[in-house]
Amino acid sequence: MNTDYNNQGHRHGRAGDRHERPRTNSLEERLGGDESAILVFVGSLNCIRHKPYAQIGKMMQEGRAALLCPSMSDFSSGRYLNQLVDAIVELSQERNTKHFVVTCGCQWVILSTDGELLIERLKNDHGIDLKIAEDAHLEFGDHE
Amino acid sequence: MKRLWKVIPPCLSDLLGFQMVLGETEGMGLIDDPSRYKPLRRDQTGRSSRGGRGGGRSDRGFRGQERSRRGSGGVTAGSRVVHSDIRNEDIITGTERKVMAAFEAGAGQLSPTFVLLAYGPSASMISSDLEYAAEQIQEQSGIPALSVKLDGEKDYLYGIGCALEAMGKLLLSERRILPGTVNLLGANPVDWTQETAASVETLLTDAGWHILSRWGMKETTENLRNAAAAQVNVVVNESGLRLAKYMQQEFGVPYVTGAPFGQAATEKLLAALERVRNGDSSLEQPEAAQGEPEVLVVGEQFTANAIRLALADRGWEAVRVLSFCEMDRGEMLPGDKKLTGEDEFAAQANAPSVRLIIADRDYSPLVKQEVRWIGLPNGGSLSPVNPTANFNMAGSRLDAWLDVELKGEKV
Repeated sequence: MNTDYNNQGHRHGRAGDRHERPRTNSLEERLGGDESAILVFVGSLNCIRHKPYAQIGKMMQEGRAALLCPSMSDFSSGRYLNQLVDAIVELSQERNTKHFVVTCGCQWVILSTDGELLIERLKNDHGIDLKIAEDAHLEFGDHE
Repeated sequence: MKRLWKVIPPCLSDLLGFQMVLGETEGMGLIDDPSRYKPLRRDQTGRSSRGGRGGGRSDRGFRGQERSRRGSGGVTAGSRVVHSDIRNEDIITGTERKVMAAFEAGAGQLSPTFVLLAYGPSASMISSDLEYAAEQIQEQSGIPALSVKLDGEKDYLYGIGCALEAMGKLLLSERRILPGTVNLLGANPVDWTQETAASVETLLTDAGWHILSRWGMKETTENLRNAAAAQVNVVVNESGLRLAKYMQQEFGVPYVTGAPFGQAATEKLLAALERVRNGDSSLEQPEAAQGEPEVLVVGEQFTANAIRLALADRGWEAVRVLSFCEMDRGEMLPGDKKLTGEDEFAAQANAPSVRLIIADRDYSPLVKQEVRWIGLPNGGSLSPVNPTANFNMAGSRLDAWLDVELKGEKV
């Protein structure tokens, strides 16, 4: 799989530590050509308005994408982390795949989410490979 | 799993509803958000996602946002909503300076007669003080301004409803009542076509009513300011209810509810209006739903209620209305339900009693039994896959559509 935008760990909040946005607006390409991989977006409904998500409906109906929309209290209490693990495990069992790519909204950045920990947890507990494609507008601004 | 959407494409967020409403006014929206709000486009085909084709609106599903030139200071060409363009560092230092800069840039280009502010998801998380920003804007510019508690989490109907209510709070003042006048509340460019709005206005005019203002479709601020002079408000979409309740409480303007789609719903609405004209304040009792549902209608509540009435005329009695968007309890019959997730819809749709579903076809993969399906337009879908073209349902047009779809079948 393409690892250009693989997770760089819990790096947010460090001044000047700015990473590259995924080079493509195509969600399919973010899956890195892995036909068994599923893309999971984590964030608010409002974030889906952006260009890369224009085809999200089609990918959902094909079983290649899903949305997890935690509430503000889910985010602020940290529940969203367990929700994401539960969602990925549920999708893994239903669709018989171990490959996932997570893309996320700004809440993920504000909360300095530890993506490495999630990757380890899913690998160790469930044998699931997770990649994180960070694309938050708070960090990168608008898509071209 | 709750909050996990696996099959059904997402709907427009509350902030996109807010944007749609502001786009129909002479006001301006300001969202404390890192990314822009491009003009929303709806096209005829429902296939092209953005830019390039231009032309028609609101006859097929929403397909994303237009490609647009980025303006300065959070202003996006063609949109009446600006954004504060905040970044990581503003999470620490606060967004106030950027909010005020976005206002200055937007006001310079759009010359708004009022301003509504709303929170993007990240601004909501850090509790930006938009109430104070609204006070500052009003004090410094003299332009009426108010903040609206939206954060991008809820659906477009909620956003439209809150935006309309906020506009009412900003713009309305006591007026002398003008007999025979109405305001149209909640008709909006997501759910309604321009043709639908025009036909409904004709229905009301033919019944002897003069329309003072339209809340949700294209309207001048001057007309909106005079709306408290109406004898009665006509709420034609769930998104108009908040404003109707506010106007009743603050100015004593009564309201009647219902989308005049189909002969049955149209006659019911006009009869309710006549009762108000004659000073009869008694409320019509809602009919009770009967037993286990044979039919599910899934969509905007008022449209779905009108379809239920039309179905009753055709012998379908056990009809349940469901919606993934805002629903008003007072407009529900027993069994109606606001759906909170795909699992709830699947449970309803796979009940053995269900024979017919009228809904967005994109919901159909969740149904595992043999049922008849009639596609219902869903302008609120952000990324439709199998959209049904929106059409004018006003008056008897809904009946004609249903008769074709049902092919004369009755229970």
